[in-house]
Amino acid sequence: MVRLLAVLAILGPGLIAANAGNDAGGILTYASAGAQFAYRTLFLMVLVTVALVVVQEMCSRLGVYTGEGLGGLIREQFSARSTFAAMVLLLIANAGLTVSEFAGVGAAMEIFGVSPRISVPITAVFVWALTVLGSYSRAERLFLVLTLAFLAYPIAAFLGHPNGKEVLSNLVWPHFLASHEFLVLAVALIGTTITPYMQFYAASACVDKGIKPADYRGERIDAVTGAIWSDIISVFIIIATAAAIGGSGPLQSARQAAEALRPAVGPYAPQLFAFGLLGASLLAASVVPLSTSYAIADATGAPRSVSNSLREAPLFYGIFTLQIVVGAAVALAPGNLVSLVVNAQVLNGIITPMLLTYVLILANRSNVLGTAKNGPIFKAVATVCVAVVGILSFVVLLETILGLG
Amino acid sequence: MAKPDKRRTTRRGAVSAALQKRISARRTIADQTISLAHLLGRPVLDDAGTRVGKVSDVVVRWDAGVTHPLVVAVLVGVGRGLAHVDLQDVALTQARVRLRSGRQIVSRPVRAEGEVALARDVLDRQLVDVAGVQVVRAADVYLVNGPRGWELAGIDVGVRSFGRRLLPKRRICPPPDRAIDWAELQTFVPRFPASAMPGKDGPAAAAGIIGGGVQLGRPAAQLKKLRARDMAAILAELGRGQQAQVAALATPSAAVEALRQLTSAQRAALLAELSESDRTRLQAMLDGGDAS
Repeated sequence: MVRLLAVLAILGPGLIAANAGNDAGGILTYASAGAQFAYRTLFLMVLVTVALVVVQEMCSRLGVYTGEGLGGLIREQFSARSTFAAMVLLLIANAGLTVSEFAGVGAAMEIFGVSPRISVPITAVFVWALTVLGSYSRAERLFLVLTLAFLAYPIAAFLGHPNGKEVLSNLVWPHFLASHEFLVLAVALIGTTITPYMQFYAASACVDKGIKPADYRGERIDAVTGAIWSDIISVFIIIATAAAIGGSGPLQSARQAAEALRPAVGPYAPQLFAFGLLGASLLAASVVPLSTSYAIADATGAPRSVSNSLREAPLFYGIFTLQIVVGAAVALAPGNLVSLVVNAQVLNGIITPMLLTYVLILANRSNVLGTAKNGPIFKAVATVCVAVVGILSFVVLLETILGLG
Repeated sequence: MAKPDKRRTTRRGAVSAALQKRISARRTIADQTISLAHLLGRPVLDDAGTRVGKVSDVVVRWDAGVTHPLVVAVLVGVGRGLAHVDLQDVALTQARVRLRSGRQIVSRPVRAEGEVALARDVLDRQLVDVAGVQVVRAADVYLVNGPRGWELAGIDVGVRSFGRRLLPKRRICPPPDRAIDWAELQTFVPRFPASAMPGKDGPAAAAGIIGGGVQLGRPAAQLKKLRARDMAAILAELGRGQQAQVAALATPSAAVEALRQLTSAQRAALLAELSESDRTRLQAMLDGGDAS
């Protein structure tokens, strides 16, 4: 445990950002994919992992080499209107996610028999106080330790005796379905894995932690391994859920998702799942609002650091506080948690390509990154990733508008 | 029924006259000030009135000891390229830039030694205080037509100023929201010491470096006090008639604060230009403030 904490102590923004991606929304979306389409989304996850590595690396590079967060870079490199549009999109995407993080907290605590009406407000105050008044980095590590509960998913995936041949075949070869439901879930998977808040957080946290271009080698390893690690867990969530309840249709509750852990821990599956969900939700409930605060404070130029006091950075903490309050309040409203969470991921999936375009243009510009700009191969791969994500999102948006779903 | 109508007409007439006065005062001042954010993208016309390009940037010369650098050129976007036009070859207004007789478009490096391109190097850049704290970004850059010609007056860091940029561009210079006199700004600072332009020295060398900013000569906490100083600096540069009009535009408290920044001779000259009622009111506020 001591060694584990020592490792966690030196974790960089890349791993934290990517791990926060396996948040309440992520876990429920991956579990929903396994429950609804069994192993069919696995190949998509391989492609998404490539895209995630490419995107997170670009964002970390932008943060380290320019010393600016994405919000600031967009303000300096694009028009005032583009900056405003980007900030509004990020705010909308993150507001939806913050709600789903608190809904995740509520669902996790409900498994322990605590009503969301009690757990959500207490958690909101806890997350706010830890970030604003306490030591944020210590809190971050605590939340990360809780997410280790999800290591149970790989174990469950093996013990659940999935069809190995089918898993392998779905991992290396696409088995997509030509249905609206599959397309929506594909966009939700992209939306929950490649999220704007992870991009903004990765760049800003690199700046906040003072990582210099000379140290970029280490930061690149952190960004790439963080992205791969986070997606390996995601793939195991899909496999474990598919083995347990695959083909049973869309996920109805968090408790159903916990069933996938039963082969690993037997009757304690719901409790272990709840621990993991709580850690993931707590981590993301602080990271998501922080990424909005970083971005908007960055774009306006206001002081922005978790090491600043409340008085030194009023805008930064003001935006953070507002999101926590609104997120927790909306999460307490009655409704279907899983559908709320998956819808927030779809919204993210639609907004993501728009914000990714900014990232791609910035990382391609030599006046921004100099010699550290995207090379020709990287540029081609990144362009294809952004284009594919964009086309999928556009199709879902079009189908939704035309009412084809 | 006739009485209220008459009263309404009279009042409307009075309001309208005051408004007219205010608008005409603003127009006069607006002729002498230019907002860079609203100038960018405006058409550049030749002497026959034909559009030859659009304003891409405004270049100032950074000389040691000069508090308000002089505008030396306009960068004109022609097709996908940039042309450098000396200021003496153009007439600069908020709505358009007109080339004087014969086009003088010269192609040369966009930024020569000691020159700063305002849109690229200052607008939207981070402002850093003496303690290295990043405070705010420049939402606009103001140029004033002073006795020496067009010069860099200061930057505006107000949210309203940024908000105005989301709307269609203004043809008349909008008033500053939270202006900072350029004299308060010391130098350009790169984020990383080694990232200044290679082979260049001097304060302008770090201009335009991504992640860099403009350094303020005072702590961030004093930032809000700068508006009056900035106004005073602008007032001191302008003619006396215009000073009065600037003072008329300001809120009484801001005007009093600005007046306090002037020398007693400048203050007396400015007060003499005002109407009897304005003079009495401002003088009373000045005396009241001094007494307290």
